[in-house]
Amino acid sequence: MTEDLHELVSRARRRETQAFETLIRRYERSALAVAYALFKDADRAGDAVQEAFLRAWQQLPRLKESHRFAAWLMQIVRHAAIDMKRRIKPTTEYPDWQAADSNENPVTLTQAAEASERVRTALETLDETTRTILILRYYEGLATREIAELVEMSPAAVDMRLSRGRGELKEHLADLVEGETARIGDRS
Amino acid sequence: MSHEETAYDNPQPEDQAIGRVVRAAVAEDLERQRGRAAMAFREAMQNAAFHMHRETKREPGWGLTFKLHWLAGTSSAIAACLAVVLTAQFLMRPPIAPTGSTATNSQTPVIDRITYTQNFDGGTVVLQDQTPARMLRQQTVKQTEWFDPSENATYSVTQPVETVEYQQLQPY
Repeated sequence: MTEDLHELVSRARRRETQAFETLIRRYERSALAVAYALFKDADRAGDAVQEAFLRAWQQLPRLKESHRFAAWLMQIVRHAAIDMKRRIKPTTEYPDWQAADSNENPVTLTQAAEASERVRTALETLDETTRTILILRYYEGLATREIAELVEMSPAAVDMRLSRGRGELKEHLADLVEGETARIGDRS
Repeated sequence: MSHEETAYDNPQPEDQAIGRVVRAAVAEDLERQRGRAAMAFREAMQNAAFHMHRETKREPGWGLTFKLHWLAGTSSAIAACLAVVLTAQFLMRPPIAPTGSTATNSQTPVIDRITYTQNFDGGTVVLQDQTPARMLRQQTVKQTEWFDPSENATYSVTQPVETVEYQQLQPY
């Protein structure tokens, strides 16, 4: 995996676009997680990630250590998101209109949308680093060690943040967590 | 648990439940964004390749350094050489005063020089070292005309010159 990464970064440095596209596919979810933790808006997170990968391509020849590629990329994503945030003027946001699916019960759909909104609001109460770590864990499914590499922290510090973040989310989302825990128990 | 795993890589049911709740909310938003970055990258590379191809055809060797000026096209060079040869021949001959000339200095042949210049914005291009730059093109046509009364003929040399300048753009 590490050798593979080294090879891909070296090829991308030699301006092989296919190698860089492989890197984009590999790190896109992590990049989206980092940008989303800053923006709390998926569309804008997508914009920032798009810009970040273009910046990364331009700056890649300056990257000295290929094993640091992921952490280096996440810094670029973060800076791109911050720059974009500065440029964007505050606007009134309207809820997204979703196409109606005749197979889904409208009540179930509404409940799911409300639950998602509550989770997003609960995530906003966390600090940026803890939020990033939680999203990397649960959206991308990364292990502690992998998260630690991306955010350049020790695995112990990542675990501490995970524990603290979970504790805060449990407080805000007690009923949702209980319901989900019961469903997990029923299945096992 | 291996030495690389930590306690939180093997969560309890309640932690798994939090994971599911968070994943359901976040993935719903973020999965729609996947694929955009690769598509944007591909598009940027195609645009860069297009500009590179266009510019390389016009001026081989461009992009080696910034703010290089190039004489463009073989026609410009030929015209310039012709101008030099004709001017040299003209200057080596004894000057001929035009018959009935109203010029104050009768030893000087009548020479008319007109220069036309126009500037174009060549748009944004990506140089070989992947630096974005703005291309500014200046096209100049120098026209030199004189009358030879001994042969009762008017000579004209047109010398087109194109200079291209690249201004470095700050990537945002």
